[in-house]
Amino acid sequence: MSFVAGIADSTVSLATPLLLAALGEVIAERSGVINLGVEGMMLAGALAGFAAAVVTNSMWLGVLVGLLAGVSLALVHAVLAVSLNADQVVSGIMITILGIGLTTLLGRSWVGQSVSGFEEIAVPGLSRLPIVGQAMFNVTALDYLALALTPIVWYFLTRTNIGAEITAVGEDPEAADTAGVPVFRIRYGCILIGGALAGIAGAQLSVAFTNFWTSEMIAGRGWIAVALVIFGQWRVGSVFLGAYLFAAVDALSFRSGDVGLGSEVFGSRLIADVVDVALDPQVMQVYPYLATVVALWYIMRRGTLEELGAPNSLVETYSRERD
Amino acid sequence: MGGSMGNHENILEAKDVTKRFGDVVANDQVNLSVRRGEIHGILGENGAGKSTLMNILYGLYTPTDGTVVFEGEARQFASPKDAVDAGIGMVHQHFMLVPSMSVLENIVLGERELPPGYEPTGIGVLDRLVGMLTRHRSAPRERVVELTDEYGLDIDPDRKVWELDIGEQQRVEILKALYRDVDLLILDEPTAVLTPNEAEQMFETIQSLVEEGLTVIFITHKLWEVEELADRVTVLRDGASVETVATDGVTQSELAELMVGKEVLLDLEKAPVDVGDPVLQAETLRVEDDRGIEALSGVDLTVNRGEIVGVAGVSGNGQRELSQSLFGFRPLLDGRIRIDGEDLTGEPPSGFMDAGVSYIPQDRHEYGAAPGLSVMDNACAKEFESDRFRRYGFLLDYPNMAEYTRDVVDRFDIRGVGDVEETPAGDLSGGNLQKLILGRELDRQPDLLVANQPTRGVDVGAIESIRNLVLERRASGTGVVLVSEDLDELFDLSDRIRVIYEGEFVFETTPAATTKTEVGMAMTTGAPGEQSQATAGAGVRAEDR
Amino acid sequence: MTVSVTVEHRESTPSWLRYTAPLLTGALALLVAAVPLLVLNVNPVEAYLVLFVGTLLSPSGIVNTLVTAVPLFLTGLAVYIPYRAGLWNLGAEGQLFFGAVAGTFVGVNADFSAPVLLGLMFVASGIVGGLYGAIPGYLRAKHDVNEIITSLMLSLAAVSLTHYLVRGPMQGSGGSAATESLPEAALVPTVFSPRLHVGVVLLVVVAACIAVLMNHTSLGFRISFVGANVGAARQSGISEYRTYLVVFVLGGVLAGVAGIVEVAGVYGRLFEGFSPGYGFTAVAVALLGRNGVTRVLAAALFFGLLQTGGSSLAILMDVPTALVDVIVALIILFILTAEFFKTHRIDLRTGRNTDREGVS
Repeated sequence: MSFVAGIADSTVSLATPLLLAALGEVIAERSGVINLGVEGMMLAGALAGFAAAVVTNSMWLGVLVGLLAGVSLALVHAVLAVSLNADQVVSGIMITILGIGLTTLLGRSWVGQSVSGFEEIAVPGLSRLPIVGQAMFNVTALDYLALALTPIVWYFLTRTNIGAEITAVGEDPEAADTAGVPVFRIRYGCILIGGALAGIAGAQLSVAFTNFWTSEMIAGRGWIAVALVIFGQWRVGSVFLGAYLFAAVDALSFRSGDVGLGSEVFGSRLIADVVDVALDPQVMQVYPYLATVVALWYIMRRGTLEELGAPNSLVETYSRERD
Repeated sequence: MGGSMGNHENILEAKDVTKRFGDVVANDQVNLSVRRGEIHGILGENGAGKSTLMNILYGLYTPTDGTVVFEGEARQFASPKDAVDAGIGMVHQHFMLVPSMSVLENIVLGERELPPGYEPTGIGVLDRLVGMLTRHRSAPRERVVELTDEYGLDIDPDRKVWELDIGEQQRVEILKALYRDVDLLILDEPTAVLTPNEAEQMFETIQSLVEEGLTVIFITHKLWEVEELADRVTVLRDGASVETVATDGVTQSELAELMVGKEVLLDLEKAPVDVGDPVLQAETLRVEDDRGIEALSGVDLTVNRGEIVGVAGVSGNGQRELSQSLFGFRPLLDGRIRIDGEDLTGEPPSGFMDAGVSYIPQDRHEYGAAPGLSVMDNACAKEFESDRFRRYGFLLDYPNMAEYTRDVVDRFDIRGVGDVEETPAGDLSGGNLQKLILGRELDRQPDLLVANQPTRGVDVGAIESIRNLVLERRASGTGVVLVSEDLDELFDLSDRIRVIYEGEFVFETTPAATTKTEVGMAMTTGAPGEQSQATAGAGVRAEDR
Repeated sequence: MTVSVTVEHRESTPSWLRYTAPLLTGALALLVAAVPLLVLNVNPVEAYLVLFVGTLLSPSGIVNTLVTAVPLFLTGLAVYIPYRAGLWNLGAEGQLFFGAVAGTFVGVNADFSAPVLLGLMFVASGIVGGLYGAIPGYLRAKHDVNEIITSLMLSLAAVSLTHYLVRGPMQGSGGSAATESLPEAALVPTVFSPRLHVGVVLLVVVAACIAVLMNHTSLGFRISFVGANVGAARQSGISEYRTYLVVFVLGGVLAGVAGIVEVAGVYGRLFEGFSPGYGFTAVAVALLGRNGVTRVLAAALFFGLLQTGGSSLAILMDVPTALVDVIVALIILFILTAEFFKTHRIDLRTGRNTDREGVS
C-alpha cells in the first residue's frame, strides 16, 4: 500500500469513533447541555461492548451493549444537569472520572482476550477507486454507520421539527418553553442520544478497531470529540470535516516517524528540525486542542457567536419559576 | 358570571388572585374581568403587579391563591402551552424569540405541523414520530402570509429574527400568537420599546385584531395610550386592583390620580438650604441603551451643592441610562461630565467614586449589593481599600470594618442583622438592604449623590427614613440627582423637578410652582398641559417643548 | 396508580441536612463503591478497613498521605481561587505538567548549590505555570472566551507536549519516557523518613498565605465580590478584567509549583505518568472545599488518604487503584445531589392523579 493510501485507510477507521462521539456531543450541546463526560462514556462503551462481544461472540450485540453503557452514564448526567440543576461542568468531569475508574476496576479480567471484530465490506466497483477506494469503500459496517449517521444527524438537526425545537432550547430555553416546547424532555433526549453515540464510539474502538480491551484505551478521544464540536462550531458538516482532519493528523502521526519527512525534503537543517518536531507523533496530538482554542478565540474576537449558531444557553441550567 | 354558560360576556375573569414570592406580595387579591371583544387596558406604575398578574394568566406562574376563569371555566394553567391551547396568547415585554432562527421557524416553533396530505393513522406513537421527524413549511408559510395580509403585519417570513428591528420582532410575536388561534392576546407594555411611528402602527394592528374578533389586554403606564386605545381600563396599585373604569367617562388626570394613589403622609424635615456652587455639570449627554438604541439625546443637567434635583419620568425614558452615565457606568457617545469643576468624561466608575460621587442603582440585587456576601462586605464594598481599613500596610482590618459596619447598621437603623460578618445581605428585607446601600453611599460624605428610585419596593417606614437621610445629606451640602417615578417622593424632596420623556428633558419646575397632575401629565404625555396626545401624535410633543 | 412528584424550593436548608451532608455524601459514596468491589469478589468492609484504618495506623501511610496531599492541595487551590471569582479552571493538570517541565529543565541543566538551585526550580515552575494559566484568564477577561473550554484544551495540549518532551528533547539516558534524574542538589530534602520531603510544609505555609490572601486582603475581597456579583463589583469600582487575570495566574503558579514538588520531592525525575490526574481530582478537592481554604486543605488530605490507601489496597488485596477514581467520582455525584436537596424539597405522592409538574 502506498504511503498516501495507507494514511487514507487509517484515517477512516480513526475518524469513526471521533465522528460518532462528536455527532452525539453536537446533539447534546445544541440543546444547551455540555457533556464533558464523553471520555468516560466511551470507556464504558468500550469495555461493556467488548465484554459482551466476548461472551456472546456477536459483535453487533457488543455494539448494542456498548450503546447501553453509554446511555446509562448519560442518564446520570441528564438527571444531574437537567433535573437537579447541577453544574454541567462538574457533572461531566465526574462522569469521566467515574468511567475511567469503573472500567479500569472492572476491566482487568478482560485484558488479554480478543474478539474477531468486523469484516471489511467492499462496495463493488467503488472499492477499486485509487486511494479512496480501499479507504472509504472497503471498511467495516461501523465505519459505514458513522458515515451514514452524518447526513442523518444533519437532517435531524436542521430539517425536522424536533431539530428546530432542539435549536430553540439551546438558544433560549425560556422562549422555547413559552412556545410550548418540552424543554426538559428535549434536553434529556439529546443527552441520552449523545451518550448512546459515545457508547457506540467506544465499542467501535475495542470491538472493531483494536479487537482487545485495555484500560484507558480511549486515550483522550473523548476530549477530542468535545474539542471537535467547538472547532466545528456546532455544525454537523464542519464536525465531519474536523473529525477527518484530526483523524488524518493522527494517522499521519502514526507513520510520520517512518519517513523522516523533514530531513529528506528540506535542505536547511533548521527548517528540517522544525518540520521534524512539528511532525512528531506526540506533538501532532496537540494540534486538535490548540486548533480548538484558536478557533474559539477567533469566533469571540469577531463577536458573532449567535450568528454562528453557538447555543446561547450552553452550560446554563434552566428552571421555570425563579424568584 | 357564575351560572351563565355558553355566551359569556366576560371572556376572562381573575378573582382574588394573590401571588407571593417569599415575603413579597406581588399580587394582593386582584380582581379583573375582561369582556369579549374589548381592548382592556391595565394601568399601573412599575411594581404595581401588572406583569405578575399576566404571567399568572399565561401559565408561567402558579397563583398562591384565587382563581382564573377563562371562557366560563375555572382554569389553572400549568404551562404557557396550556394557556395557548386554551386560547390565551401573550407578547412579553422582553421578546421570547430565538434570534438565530427565521421568522417562520419562530412562529411555527413547537407546533410540529404534519406533512401535507398525511392522514393521521390514529397510532399515537407513529403520528408523533412523523410530527417530530418531518418538517414541512409550505402550508404554514401560506398561513403566515395569509395572517400578515389579514392583519397588515408586513413581515418577510424568511428573514432571521436577529436581522429585524424591534417593531418587526414584536409583529413576529403577535403572529406567533395568531398562528396558534388565540382568542385573547395579552400585550405587555408593547410600546415601551417602540418609536412613536412604530407605536402608531402598533395601535392600528391592535385595532384590526379586535375587528377580527380577538380580545386584547394591553398593559401600559402611559395614560394617553389608554385613552386612545382602550375601551375599559383596570388600574393596579401596590399589587392590588384599584378600579375598573370605562375610558370614555374618565380624564387623564383622574387616571393619573388612580394610578399614583392617595398621599401617604410622611414626617419629613426639609429645611431651607443655601444652594452652593455647581457640583455636577453635565452637557449634551448622548448615550445608548443596552440594545444600542439612543436613550439620551443630548441632555444637560446641572446640580448645585445642597440642592436636590428630581428627575421625574416613566421608566424606560432614559433615566436609567442617565443615572448610569453620571457614575461612569455607561459610555458616553457625546457630551462631557464635570464634578466639582473637574472633567471626568470617559472615566471608569472608580474615577467618579474618587471624585466624591455616590450612586444608588435602581436594582438592589443586581447592582447595588452582592446578596450572597455578608452585610459587612457590602457595607465596605467601596471603602475597603481606604487607609482606615488597612493593617500593616496590606491586610484588611476586619475588626475595624465590622466595628464600622455595626456603626452604620446602628446609625442607619438597619434591622434584621444578626452578626454583621455572618448575615448575608440577601437575607435583609428590601427596605433594610436599601438602607444598607444608602448607608454605604452616604457615609462617604459624597459631593454628589445619584439615586435611582431609592425607595422603590420598600416599606413605608423605610421610605420615611431613606427620604430623611437624603434630606440630611442635602443639608450638609451634597448635591443630589433623584431619579424617581414616585411623585410624592419628588415633591417632598426636590428643590427642582425636571421631567424626562423619550430621552429629553421636556419640563422643568419646582414643587411649589406645579401640581402632581401637571408633572404626571408631562411624564406620561411629554407635556404638562391637558391637551390630548392621542390625536396630536409625535409632532405636537416636539412643539410643546 | 399514578406517582406524582412535586418539587418545591426550600426557604432555608434544614440544619440536620447542613451538618450531616458531608458525612452522608462520603458514606453513600463508599456504599455505592462497594458494588464494584463485590463484583471483584472483594469484601468491601475489609477493603475499607485497609484503605482508611490501615493507612492511618501506619507511619508510612501517614507520610504518604501527607506527601500525596501536597499536589492535591496546590492544584485544588488552582481550581478553588478562580472558582471564588466565578470561573472554572479545568487546566490545573496542564499547568502542573508545564511547571514540572520548567522546574526539571532548570534542575537538570543549571549548576548551582542546593538552595539556590531549588529556589530557581520553584520560581521557574511557578512562572511557567502562571503564564500558562494566564492564557485562559486573559482570553476570558479580554475577549469573553469561555474559560472552561480553553483551560481544558490547553491542559490536554500541555500533557501531550510533555509526553513529547520526555521522549524527545528532554529524554534521559535511561531510554524510557523520562528525563535525566535530577542531581542531588535539585532534590527536595527529606526528613525522618526517606519519603517525607520537606515540601509538605507547603501544606501549612501555602494554606496560611492563601487563607490570608482570600480572607484578609483587598485582593481577596475583590475576588469574592466579583464571584458573588459581577454587576455590583463593577459598580463598586472593581475591575473584573484584572481580577479574572489574577485568579488564573495565581492558580497557574500554585499548580506549576505542585508539578515541581512532585518531581523534585517524590520521583527525582520527570516521566510521562508522574501525575495520576491530580488536576482533575483537584476539581473534586475544590468542590468539597469550596467554603474556605482550610476545607480545601481538609479535602486534599482526605483525597491524599484515599490515594495512599488505594495504593496499599492494590498491594495487599490486589484491587486496582482505580477504585479511588470511583470513590472520588461518587463523592462528586453525591455532593451535586445534596446541593439540590439543600434548596429543594421533594414530595412523593402515590395513587392520586394530580397535575403533573415538571421539576422547576
